[in-house]
Amino acid sequence: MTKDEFARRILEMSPMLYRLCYTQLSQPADREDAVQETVRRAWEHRDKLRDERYMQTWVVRILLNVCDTQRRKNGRLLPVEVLPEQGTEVAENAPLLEALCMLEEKYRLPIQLHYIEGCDVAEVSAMLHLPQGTVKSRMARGRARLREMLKSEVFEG
Amino acid sequence: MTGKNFRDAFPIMDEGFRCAVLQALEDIGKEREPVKRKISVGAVLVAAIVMLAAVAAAAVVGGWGMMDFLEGKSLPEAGEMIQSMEGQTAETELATFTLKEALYDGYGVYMTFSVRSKDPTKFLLPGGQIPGNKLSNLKEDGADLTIGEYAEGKGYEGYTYVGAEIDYKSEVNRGSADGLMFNTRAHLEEDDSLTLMLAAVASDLGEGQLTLQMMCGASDVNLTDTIVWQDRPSVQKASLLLKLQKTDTVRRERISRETVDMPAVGMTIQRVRLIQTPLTTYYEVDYTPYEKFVYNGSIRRNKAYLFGVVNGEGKVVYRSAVANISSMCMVDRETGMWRALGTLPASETLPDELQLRVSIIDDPSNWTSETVTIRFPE
Repeated sequence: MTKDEFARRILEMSPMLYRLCYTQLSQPADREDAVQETVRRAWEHRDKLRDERYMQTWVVRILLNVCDTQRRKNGRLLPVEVLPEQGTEVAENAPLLEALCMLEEKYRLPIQLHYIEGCDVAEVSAMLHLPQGTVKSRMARGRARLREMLKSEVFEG
Repeated sequence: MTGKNFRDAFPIMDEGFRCAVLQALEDIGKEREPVKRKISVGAVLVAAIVMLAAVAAAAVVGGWGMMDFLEGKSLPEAGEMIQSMEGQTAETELATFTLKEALYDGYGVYMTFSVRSKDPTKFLLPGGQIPGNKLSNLKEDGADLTIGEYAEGKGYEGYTYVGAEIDYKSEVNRGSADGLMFNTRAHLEEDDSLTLMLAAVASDLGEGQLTLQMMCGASDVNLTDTIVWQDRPSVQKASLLLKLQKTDTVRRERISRETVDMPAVGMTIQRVRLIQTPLTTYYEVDYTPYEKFVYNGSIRRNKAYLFGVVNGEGKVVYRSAVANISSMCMVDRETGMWRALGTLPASETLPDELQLRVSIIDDPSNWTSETVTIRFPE
């Protein structure tokens, strides 16, 4: 893969990488570090990617590992909240994001990757190193929890 | 709700993240070089090691000092504990940062910087201020002028944003200063230099020496640019490595012994500890939210607990002597215990009881509050 082709694919993926970082890491600086480390690792180990069709799966896998490492580095005490500034605009769909962030990670990631990022179950299974059956059951439980939190059907149809 | 509804709920990719991706892609040809995010070509990185002796002395750099910022909310002997740091500087091409004073007492970290512009045509703006803000934000005799009117009146042709903060990317700060977040205040001096005061409180900072890597930054201002100054790609940065010796300031402690339920805000107060020092009175609140799921490793960004102590006039002291408690809610992943730490004006005595108000904030316009009495037995 050429550098230009690699860069093009990463830029295409960057909104998705941002959303994944957003739910995985609380601090903007940590997210930026994580995406940089992900890009660096992906480029350095690009020869390990045997089929470029699976680049997205592979990059997401790297990103989740990097985020996991970043969280462990951050130590056991984390700042939980910073108050919103007065007059901060809250997105219309903010409660959805809030509910998603409140889901345990084991439910959140399959739901985020499948329903929000559009990956099929096989891809999610590869990204998370989980059997497809486990992915499906976690998505079902996660949907139920979201439904409970939002008092509304989610991902219908 | 569909996947698109959820996608739309995410904020638009911020400029810092976009720059980080572009920088990483730019760097991938340089495989042997470490990736450095947000450091512009013109950035300057200077490290200075500052060893603090525990000898107390008055600041001699001039201008405001820590005791001025405390505005009489500390006891006079606090001044003897503040350590002079004259001469330790961090330089960028736009501004010079000189550390003036520092104090670390195991619960709080405080420091003051003098900041001077290197370009006589540029007026220094502390991060968070804009030219349209009142000058009284920066100096007491600001009359009714705005910062912009004042700067224009003195013939300045432009602005330079300046600020100092903990370097969250630094490995030095991992473990030693988890969760430490500084509040910054600024004072405009007669010669238009700035004095910045940084104050932070946190639990479990440890004993003995605290090592912190601070990042000082300066950036030319594009007033149409709304991103915060730290995220500007053009920010010039210089770092200071501080080794702060702990000064024992604690005079007395009082601890509540009864748990208190607060159903309206969904939590149980496990205990409150008051810690009396000449600089401030810290209050540490250990609590358990009813709904454990509110913390799962990710941070909820638009929901928060806010703690405040109600004073004798029935008003809540949200922003007290040295720091704002609202940013200091912590959770211990291992025990599940939540902790908030805040400050009150220093006092010669500790109270037998206090009124603690807790608010839960779903969004900026939806607050639910509950006030309880916390008693401290002898």
